[in-house]
Amino acid sequence: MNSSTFREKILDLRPHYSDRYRSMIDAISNKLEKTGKGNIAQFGAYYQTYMYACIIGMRMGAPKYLEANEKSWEFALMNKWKPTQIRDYVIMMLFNRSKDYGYDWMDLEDANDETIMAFLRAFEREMEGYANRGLEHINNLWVNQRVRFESPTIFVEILQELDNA
Amino acid sequence: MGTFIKSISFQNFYNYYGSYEDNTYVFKEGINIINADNNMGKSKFYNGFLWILDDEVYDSDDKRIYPVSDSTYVKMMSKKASRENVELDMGVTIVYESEGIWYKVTKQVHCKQEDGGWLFAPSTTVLKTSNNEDMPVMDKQEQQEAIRVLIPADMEKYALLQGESMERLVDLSTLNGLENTINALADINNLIRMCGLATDLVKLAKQEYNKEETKNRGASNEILKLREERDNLEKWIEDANGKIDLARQELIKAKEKEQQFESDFFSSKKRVQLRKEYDEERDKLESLKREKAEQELSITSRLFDENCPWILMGLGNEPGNFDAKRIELTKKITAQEISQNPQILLPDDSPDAPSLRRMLEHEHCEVCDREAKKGTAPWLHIQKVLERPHKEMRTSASFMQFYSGLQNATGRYEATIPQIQESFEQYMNNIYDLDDQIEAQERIVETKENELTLVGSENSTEEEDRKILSGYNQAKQTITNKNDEIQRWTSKIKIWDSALTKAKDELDKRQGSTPIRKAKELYDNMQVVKSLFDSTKERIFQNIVDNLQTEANKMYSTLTKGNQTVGGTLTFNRQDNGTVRVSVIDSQGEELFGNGTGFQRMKQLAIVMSIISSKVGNKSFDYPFISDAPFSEFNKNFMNNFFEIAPNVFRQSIIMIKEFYDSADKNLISEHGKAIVKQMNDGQLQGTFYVNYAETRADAGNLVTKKYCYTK
Repeated sequence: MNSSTFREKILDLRPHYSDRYRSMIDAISNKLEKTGKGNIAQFGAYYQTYMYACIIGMRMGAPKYLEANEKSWEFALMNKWKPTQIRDYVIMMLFNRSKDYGYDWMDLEDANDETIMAFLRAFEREMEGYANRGLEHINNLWVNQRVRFESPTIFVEILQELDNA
Repeated sequence: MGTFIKSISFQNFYNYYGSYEDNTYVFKEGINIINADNNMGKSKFYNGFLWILDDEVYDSDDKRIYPVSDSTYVKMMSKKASRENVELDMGVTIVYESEGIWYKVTKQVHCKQEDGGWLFAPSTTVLKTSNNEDMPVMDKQEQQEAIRVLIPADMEKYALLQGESMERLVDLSTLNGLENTINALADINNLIRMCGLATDLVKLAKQEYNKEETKNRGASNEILKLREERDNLEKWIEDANGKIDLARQELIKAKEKEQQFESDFFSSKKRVQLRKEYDEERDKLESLKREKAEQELSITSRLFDENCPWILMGLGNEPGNFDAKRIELTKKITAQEISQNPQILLPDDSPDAPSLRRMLEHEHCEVCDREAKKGTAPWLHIQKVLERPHKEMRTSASFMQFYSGLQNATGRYEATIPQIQESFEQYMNNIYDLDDQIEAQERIVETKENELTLVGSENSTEEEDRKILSGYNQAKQTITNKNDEIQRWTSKIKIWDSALTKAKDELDKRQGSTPIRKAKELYDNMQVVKSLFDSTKERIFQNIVDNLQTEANKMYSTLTKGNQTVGGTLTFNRQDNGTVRVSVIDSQGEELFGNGTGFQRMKQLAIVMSIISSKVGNKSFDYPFISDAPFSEFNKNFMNNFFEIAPNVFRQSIIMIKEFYDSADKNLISEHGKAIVKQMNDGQLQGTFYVNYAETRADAGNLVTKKYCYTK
């Protein structure tokens, strides 16, 4: 498998998110891009919420994997995520942590398709784990400090708080 | 001298239940007060006078005056008496004295219940007593004359006042109103008649003159032409004067309108200006809020900005780590290749094959510039290098290209991530700055709102204010137009006048016959007589108006003294049509507007008092002053001032008020009322003080008014 195919395989992934965060994601995401939803601060598209959660999860450190029987929802193809540079940054961060989920980059050199597919499954699981951790954090704030979401700066504040933690 | 009311008595009249003896109020010279709460008979008391004088009664339910009739008798009858009796007498008696003659006037209705309804038989009896001799007056006309001794018809509007109609009391703004008032003060009826007569005489003399001219059949063409010219000019002047009169009337109407709008004009103008300023400031506020909302909305795009994405805050070391891993992978791949083919480290085409063949042929290594004899180790090494197998490109099996792609896409953030904090701070500073601006702007808007409230924006809509402004401006424009029009016609008249004089002189020269000359002389003399009467009348008018102004100001200043609000000075201005406009001027000569109803009534009262005081030959009003609720809009200070001045103006006043009533007091008199009673009993103030009360609580229909007199 060459680089180009490998990239395509990664961008064909559709990570999942837990059903328990669905309503919160619905509330803070916006399918119609920049129009508001009442007094609640929002992201643009759903996949931006997912990238944001994933980055929070990675900054928090420990992925929280979806349970085997946990009801979950499939996300948009990574190929569709925008901006592509941020998506690539997330991919890059996951490759930086590949050893955490059992892969050295060298293992992938000249590897057969079966190995690559196994890696992709692990990669996707890791991404879901980090996003799940991030969503859990956001949801805790959403449940306990809802009023903070009336401020448009909440999403920056969450990132700053991670810095200070 | 003058008329003085001795008493008034009621019998089964409204809530004055019972006989005349039970309901007699005896009066003195000075101030006579009937102090009563609502429904305790003040207006009914006033109605006693109104019935005797005018055969009318005031209905306080709809605030209108009605002539007495069967339908008013039903209301005038005491309810209690009408329930207790099937037949009763209801009436009012007033006893008054004038020039040593006593008058007793009774208006009475015999009421009889029949077939479920009432039949009414009204009657009037007048008894004159002079030198202990009673003289019943039977003739209707004589009865009416005797009644008018109480208060003459032309003085009634100044002597019999109902509080609520006081604002419309004196009307000097119409010719009729002014003439009536001036006539009441100085009997110039003869003079007015003489003015009318002189006008008629002028007309007659002119007709005679024209007749004499026509008789002269031998007049030359020149004379005929001159007559035609004179007649034309006279007609033009007459027409022009007609147009000036019309323009004056329109001018007066426009001035009335201007006056009507003037009091509101300045506050309306201020409100319109303030509303404009308020709208502008509010727009600025909205624009700032919009700007802030847009800034806040942009925070999401800032998080995912392609150049400086805030979402990557604190992740600046990731590209470095990634690059390190990439280098590590390269090393690993190289090491693996070396281990698979350890001798050959040189790249595929270096040195190239032709160079290697030449080195073998020359037995010399060009790389290290040393001899390499054939068959020796260096020569064999060169041969081995020449014959080394060429490896295939490994790119298809390595993900290095993928990693490089990621590195290229994300590497730039290594430089921008450290700037995120600064970018965010700048953004927040912008927001804080906008917050400050919004707060300051909100204060400005609030100030404008308060200013608007202060000028009465809550009670007046923008449309109403615009109407006032346009009405006022329109009136001003009409005034300018009409003044111009009058000016234009006046100039024309001046030119025509001079042409007319010329034509007349020319005619006089040419028409020398005695009859014509005599007729002309008569016509000229009559015009002089007319102008003499007119100027005399005008001089008297002006003198009276000047005196009125002086007197009214004396009264007004006494009535309003001690009030915090400045009352101003009353000015009586003659208008273009000869009428008088009374206005209140402040110390700067500016007209004062907006003083309350109390002040307006006080102004009217001052004018009435000045009219009464100005009566030629008298310093004291000849007739009683009777008023119902004159003080309903006055404060305590106004009332005290009135009591101070009234005895000097009115020989006798009878006033029905509730201002001195206090239901909590055992005597039903307020502290202020008690002070008045004390002044009366101490002899400082002449008069009587009655309090009306109900012995038992009852509804309005069953109410029976009793009285108590607190003065000696």
